[in-house]
Amino acid sequence: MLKRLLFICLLPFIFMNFHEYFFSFGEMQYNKETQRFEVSIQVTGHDLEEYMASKGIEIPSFEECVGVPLELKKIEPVLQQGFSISADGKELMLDLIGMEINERDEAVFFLMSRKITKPSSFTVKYDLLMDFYANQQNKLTIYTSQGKEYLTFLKNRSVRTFEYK
Amino acid sequence: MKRIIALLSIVCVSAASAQINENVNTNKFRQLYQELPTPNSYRTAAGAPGHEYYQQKANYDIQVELDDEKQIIRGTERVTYINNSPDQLEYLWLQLDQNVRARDSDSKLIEVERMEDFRNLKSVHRKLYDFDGGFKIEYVKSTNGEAMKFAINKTMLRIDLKTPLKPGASISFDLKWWYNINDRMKIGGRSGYEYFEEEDNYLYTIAQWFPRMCVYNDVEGWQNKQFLGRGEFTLPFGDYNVSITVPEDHVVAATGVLQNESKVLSTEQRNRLKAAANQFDKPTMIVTEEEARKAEKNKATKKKTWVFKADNVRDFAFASSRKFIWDVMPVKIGNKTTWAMSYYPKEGNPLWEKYSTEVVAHTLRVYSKFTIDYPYPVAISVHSKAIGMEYPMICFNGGRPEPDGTYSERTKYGMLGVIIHEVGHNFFPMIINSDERQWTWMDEGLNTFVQYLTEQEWERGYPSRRGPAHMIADYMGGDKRYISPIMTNSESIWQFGNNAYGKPATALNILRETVMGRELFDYAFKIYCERWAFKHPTPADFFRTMEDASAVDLDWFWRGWFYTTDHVDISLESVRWFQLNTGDPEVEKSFQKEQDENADVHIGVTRNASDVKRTMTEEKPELNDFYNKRDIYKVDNLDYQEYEELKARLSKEDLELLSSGKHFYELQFDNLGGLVMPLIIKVTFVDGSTEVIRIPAEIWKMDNYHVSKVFIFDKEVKSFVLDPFLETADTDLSNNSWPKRVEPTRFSLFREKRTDENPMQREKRLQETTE
Repeated sequence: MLKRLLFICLLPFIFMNFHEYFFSFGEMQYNKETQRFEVSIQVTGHDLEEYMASKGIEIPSFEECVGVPLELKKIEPVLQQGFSISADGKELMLDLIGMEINERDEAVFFLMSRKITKPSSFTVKYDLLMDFYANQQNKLTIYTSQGKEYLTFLKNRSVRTFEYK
Repeated sequence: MKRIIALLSIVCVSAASAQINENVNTNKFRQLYQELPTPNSYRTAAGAPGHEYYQQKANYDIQVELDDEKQIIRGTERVTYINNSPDQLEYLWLQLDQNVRARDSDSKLIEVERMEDFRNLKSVHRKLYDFDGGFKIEYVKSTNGEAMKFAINKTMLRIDLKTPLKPGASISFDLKWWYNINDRMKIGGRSGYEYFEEEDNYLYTIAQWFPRMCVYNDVEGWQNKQFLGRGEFTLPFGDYNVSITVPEDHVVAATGVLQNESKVLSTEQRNRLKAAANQFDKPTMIVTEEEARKAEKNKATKKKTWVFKADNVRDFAFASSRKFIWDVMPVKIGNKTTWAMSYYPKEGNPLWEKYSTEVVAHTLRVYSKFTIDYPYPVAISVHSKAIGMEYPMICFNGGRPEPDGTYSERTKYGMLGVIIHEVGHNFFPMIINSDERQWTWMDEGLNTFVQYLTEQEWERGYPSRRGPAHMIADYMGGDKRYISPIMTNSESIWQFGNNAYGKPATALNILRETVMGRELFDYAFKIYCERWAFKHPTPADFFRTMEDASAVDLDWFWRGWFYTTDHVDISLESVRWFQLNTGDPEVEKSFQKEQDENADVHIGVTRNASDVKRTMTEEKPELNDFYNKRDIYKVDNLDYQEYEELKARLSKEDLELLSSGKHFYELQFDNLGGLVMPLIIKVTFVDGSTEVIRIPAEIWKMDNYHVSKVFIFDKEVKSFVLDPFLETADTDLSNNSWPKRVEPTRFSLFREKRTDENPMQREKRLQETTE
């Protein structure tokens, strides 16, 4: 079926050619006490800044976004588009509750789901930045009571399902 | 707590079968004979160049003109190629790297794409962008003007020789060519131009700009693997004479030494250079920001030719712009003086005038300490937005402040890091000239390792991105289908940065800090650099030298870290605590009583104590017999007699040992990740004191997956922690402790320190409190 493409913006972006990083590391766990999924996503700061510029989303530098709800609200949909969790056929709403950026250019974003009974399995889509950097590869560490489990996400393998043992 | 009845019994750790998988030896400590090439007279088993080692030489005389109106490079070159090999050559191969941007280039074709990649119009424009890149070769001629037969295969050009080039012979030939310079900010690239629209000026960083000889050697024959864009360059050494014609108001930075100062520099600039020769403690401005600002307001119509000479280099690059500010500082390295220099547009300030040249000088000093003394006369850092790229004596580096002159910490450290890294590339691979097209890690990995050492000598607590073991742990764990061994060709590496930069740098750091120790490592590493300076080393030469110069068998380490995707996850599976049985019935029976009284009680017994009002034997005491009535904790004469007999059989030393109260702990370790590593164990005793025990990786030499070890202490242990200093890249710290510790997630750490105010708001609140 022929589909129409929705173009997001016309603003120019700068093609970065620093030596490659292109790796986002996520961590998630289900918190029994709060009954929410807690997620942190680490990404190279300048990668995401360039990405957002390419989408026409104007924000100051990440340092100036820390603790500023107005700016975090602009970043939130980008993260939601690049990282989502579905359980029982429904996508969970993930709220961006904070971020950190350090001198190593590591930006970390903290997201939390709304309340949900712990599902026996869930599906994660984690294609953050993959539509911008050809070599982007994302990895998710899932903390369970048995220890850590890892899921790797690639351009052609950006959706993975996880079942609790 | 348990007790053992007899004296220490030797626990035999069962040896794991080394012969599984169809009787093939899969032990992680087997030697690397099958993986490494057989040593020969060109490369020895010790990892050094052999007595018949040879390498080719390519000398260049080039005249090039930069067309600032049309952004075109036009050049002619004479190549003199010297065949030092024992082979006769029927043809010669040259590299045409600019052809990676040619219309028929394979590079775009082999990119994997999805429709999601075209969510913005810019990406569509980029895909449709029709740039006529690539070399336009006008001729290839012999020095007598006769056309030479040649063939172009994508990024490679073959010249067919009329008569084969004999061993020891040389040949000269001429080429003429031109190409359109790429807009680096639009289509990327290691070189190209940056356009400053507001003032209509260009900053050119020019590299891979002339047809260059391929390497011919004993390992690859001709290294003519196509340039696909990632695997970088493999080049022979040679001497260069290069004349660069540019607009008169341009300042040119280039590989080598400027030969015609009087024709291209002003008297004032030459006087400043002269004065700078004795100014070792701070940079001297040769072109000031004010002068550069003035220059960028006009455009010269005349031209100037800058002449550079560079000896024994593997490449030549240059930068040119009327926007350049230029500062210099001499640095003493060994018995030589080198010029550290920086060229940058005003957009780089204030960062660049403060740091660049100082960082270049620092990098030369620290690298020289760990490798060889920097041998070249200049080392240049050029500011070029959003890039980091290296060439002999010159590199192009990003790190640009905001337009208002402010900058974040990560911009600053990003800039310092990229300058250290790219200047460091002078050593790997510009001098220690490995095959980049084949093995990215040999230059990027080794360079990133020394970069880390250099960063840590720049500033205590420098926020290095790569080097410390724990920083690679996230990358190494998990699904192995999407991780490559370090020993993978440059084009086929999953996660290039982590694989070719981070992991080898971490591996070397672990060798230095944990496996070999600093003294042995530093000596062997320096020997490798000295042996292979101005030569072409291979991975085997590196592996062999590191072992040969240190007497440390590292085959297991190279195999695990470089040939596999195994990761480190060693768990402290169990801890068993013992004390010696003294044999003294007074002590032992009292101890047993205490143990029994403190033992956990089944819930049924507890409930029955109240629920069962009276048992049968309580109802009818007459049903009790000897076994119901005896006191098993009572010490009788027979116990004393047996104890006396035991003492009579033992020596004084034995008796002292029995009564010493020593604590025995048997620790069991499992290798879950596959990589064998030393065991570093921190022991904390109940009195608060600590001890660190380091066990070499060879403890895994028989059974690669399960080992145990017994430790004897005078004091009771409160806790054991494996890898307490985060030096082995263990991917799962939650199984490293006894008693078990929960590894915090990033989220839980964030939650603990979460605050609604940013650091500036906190500072403001602090000031208000103080007032």
